[in-house]
Amino acid sequence: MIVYQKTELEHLQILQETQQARQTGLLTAEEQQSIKQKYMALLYSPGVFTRIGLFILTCIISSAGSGMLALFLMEAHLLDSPAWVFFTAAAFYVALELMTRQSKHYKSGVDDALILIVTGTFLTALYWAVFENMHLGDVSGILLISALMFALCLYLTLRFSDMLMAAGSLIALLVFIFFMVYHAGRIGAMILPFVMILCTALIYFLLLRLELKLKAWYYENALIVAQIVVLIALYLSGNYFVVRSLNEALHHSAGVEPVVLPFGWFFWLWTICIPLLYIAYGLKRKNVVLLRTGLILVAAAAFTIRNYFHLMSMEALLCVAGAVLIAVAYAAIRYFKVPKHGITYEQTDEQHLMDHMRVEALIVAETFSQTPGPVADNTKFGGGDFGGGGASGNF
Amino acid sequence: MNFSLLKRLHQQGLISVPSFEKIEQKHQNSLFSLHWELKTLLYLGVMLLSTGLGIVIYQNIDTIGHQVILLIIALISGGCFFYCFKNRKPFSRALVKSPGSMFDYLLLLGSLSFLTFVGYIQYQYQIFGTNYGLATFFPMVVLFFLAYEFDHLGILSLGITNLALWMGVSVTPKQLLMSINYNSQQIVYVYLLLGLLLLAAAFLSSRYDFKKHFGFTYMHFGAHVAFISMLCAYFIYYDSGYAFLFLLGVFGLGYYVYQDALKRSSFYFLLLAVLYAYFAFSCLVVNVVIRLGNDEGPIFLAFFYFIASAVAIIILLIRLNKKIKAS
Repeated sequence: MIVYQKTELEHLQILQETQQARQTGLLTAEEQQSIKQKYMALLYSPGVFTRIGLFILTCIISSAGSGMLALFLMEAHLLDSPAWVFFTAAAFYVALELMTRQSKHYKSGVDDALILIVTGTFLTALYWAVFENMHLGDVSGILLISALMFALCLYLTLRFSDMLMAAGSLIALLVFIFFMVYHAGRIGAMILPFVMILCTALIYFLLLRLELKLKAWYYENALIVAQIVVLIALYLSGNYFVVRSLNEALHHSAGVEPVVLPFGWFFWLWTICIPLLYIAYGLKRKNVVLLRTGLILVAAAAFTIRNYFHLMSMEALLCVAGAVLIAVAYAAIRYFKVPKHGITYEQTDEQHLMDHMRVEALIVAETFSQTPGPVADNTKFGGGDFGGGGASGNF
Repeated sequence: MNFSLLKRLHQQGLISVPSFEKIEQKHQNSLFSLHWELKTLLYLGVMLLSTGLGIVIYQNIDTIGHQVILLIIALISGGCFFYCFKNRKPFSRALVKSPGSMFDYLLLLGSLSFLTFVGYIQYQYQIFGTNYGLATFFPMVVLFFLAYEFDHLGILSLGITNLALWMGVSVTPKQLLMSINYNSQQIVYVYLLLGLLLLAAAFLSSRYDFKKHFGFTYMHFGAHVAFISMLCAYFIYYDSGYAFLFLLGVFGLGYYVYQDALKRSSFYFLLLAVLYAYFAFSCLVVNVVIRLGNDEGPIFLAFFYFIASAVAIIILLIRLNKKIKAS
C-alpha cells in the first residue's frame, strides 16, 4: 500500500534510530558513520527548515499551476462545472505520486504540501458538486461528503503515512457516524451521545489492537495522532457542556422547546471522571498519549464546571488552582526524584537541550515583546509577566 | 529506542561491544519519564497563581498603596539577582554553561520583575519625566549587561527588543509583520539602521571571539529586520525610480548572509537569504509584468515565471542543503 520501497524505509528507520542513539551518547561517531555508509539514505527527507522552504515553494507552484490551468479552461468555457476542480485535484495527485515515487520525497515539504492541496481541492470540488449540482439535502450531502473524504484521507494515510490525513480520516468517519444517527430522527437525537461514546470507544480499542499488531513502523506516528483524536472525541461525546448544547440545538432546529437533559448525572460523571481515568490508565500502562490527553482534558473539565457553577470569583479560582497545581507538581517531583514503579522525574534523553536553547531565546522574545514598554504597559501589575516566564521554555 | 533493530546492527558488526552494552543496560532500565508533564504543570501553576495574585493586588491597590507593591517587586527582583550573583560562574568570553535550570528561571524572573519595576515607577511617579528615551535606555543597558554577564540568550533577546524600543520601534518578527504601520518613511529607516546594527553585532561577536554563540540571535533579528525594512522601503518608494536601490540592497545583503551562512554552515540563514532574495526578484518581475499591460499574455507569463522559478529554487535549496551537510 505504501508508496515507498521496503529497503528505502528500512534504511530510513535504521538511520533515524542510530541518529537518536548517537544523540543520547549510546553510539560513537565512527559507528554512526559506518552505519550511514552501509545503509545509505535512499529517501529525501531533509531538516525542518528545508521542509518549510520546500512547503512554501510547492504551494507557490501549485497555485500558479492551477491558475494557469484555469486561464486555459476559461477560454474554452469549461469553468462552469466542478469537473475542472476534480481534474485539478487529480493532476495534483499525479504530481504527488511522481514526487514520492520518482524523486523519493519523504516528508520533505513537497509531499506534505501536495497531500494537503490534493485533499483541499478534492473537498472543494466535492462541496461544489454535492450542493450546487446534485441538490442533495443538507444531511445526505454531508453524509456523502464525509464518506468520500474518509475514503480519500484513509487512502492517503496508508499510501504516504501522513499524520494529518490520519486525523482527517478519523474526523470524517466520526462526522459520518454522527449524521447517520442524527438522520434517524427523534430517537436518534436522543441516543446520539451514547452511540458516539460506544463508537469512539470501539475505534480506540481497535486502534490499540492495531498498535500491538503493527509491524510497519512508519505508521506509528499516524496511529498516535489517530489515538489522540479518538480519545478527545470519546471525551467530548459525553462532556456535559457539549451534550447539553447539542441537545438544545437539536430541539431548537426541530421547533420543540428544549427539555431538561435526560441522564444529566451521567454526563457530569463522565465530564469529571474520564480525564482522571485517562491519567490513571496512562500512568499504569505508561502510555504517554493517554496521560497527556488526560492532562489536557482536565482543563476542559474545569471549564465545563466553571461554566455552570460559579463557586468563586475568577481571581480566587486562579489563585487556588495555581496553588494546587504547584503543590501537586512539587510533591510529584519530590516523590519521583528517585524512580518508583518504573516512573522517574529525570529526563531520559538529554540530547536536544542545546538545540532548544536557541529557539527558546526567540520564544522568550516573542512572549515578552509587550513587556518592556514602560510607557505603554504598566497599568497591569507584573503578576502575569513572571508567570509567563515559567511558561516560555524548558531550560 | 528500537532494541531489536540495534541488536541486529550489533550482530552485523556495525556496533561495537562496549556501545552495545550501554544500549543493553539502557534497554533494561528504561524508565517512564514524567519530566515534561510535571514541569508543564509547575509552569501552569506558577502562571495561574501569579496572575491571580496580580489581579488581587491590582483590585486592592487603594488599600495596599503603590509603595508597598513597588517594594514587593523590588524585593523579588533583588532577591533573584542576589541569588544569581552568588551562584554565578566566573565570566568568560566563551560559552558559559548555566549552573542549572533554577538559576535560569530566577535570572529571567529577576529581569522581568526589574522591567516591571522600572515601568511601574515611571508610570506612577514619572521618574524619568517625559524623557522616554532615558526610560528605555536604562533597562536596555542593564539587560545587555545581564545577558553578557550570565550568558543568557533569552535575556539577550529581551535586550535586543528593548534596544528596538529605545530606537522608537518594537521589534519582534510577529509584530514586525502585523502591527506596525509601514507607511511612515522614518520608521523604515530606523528599522534599517537597527537591522544593520544587529548584523554588525553578529559580525563583531564572531570576529573578536566575544560570546560567539550570541551571533545567532543577533543575526536572526538583524537579518529579518534589515530584509523586511528594505522590502517595505521598496513599496513605499514604489513610484520613484529610487525604489530599485532598495531591491539592490536586498540582493547585496542576501549575498552577505549567504556567504556568512556557508561559513557557519547554517541552513536556516541560507534559506532566509534565498527566500528574501527570491521575493525581491519576484517583485521586480511582477513590476515589469504589470507594466506590460493587463492582457492575458502577461498574466500567463507571470504564472509561468512563478512555476519555473519556484522549481528552480527548490532544486537550488536541495543542492545547498547537500552542500552544507557535506561540509
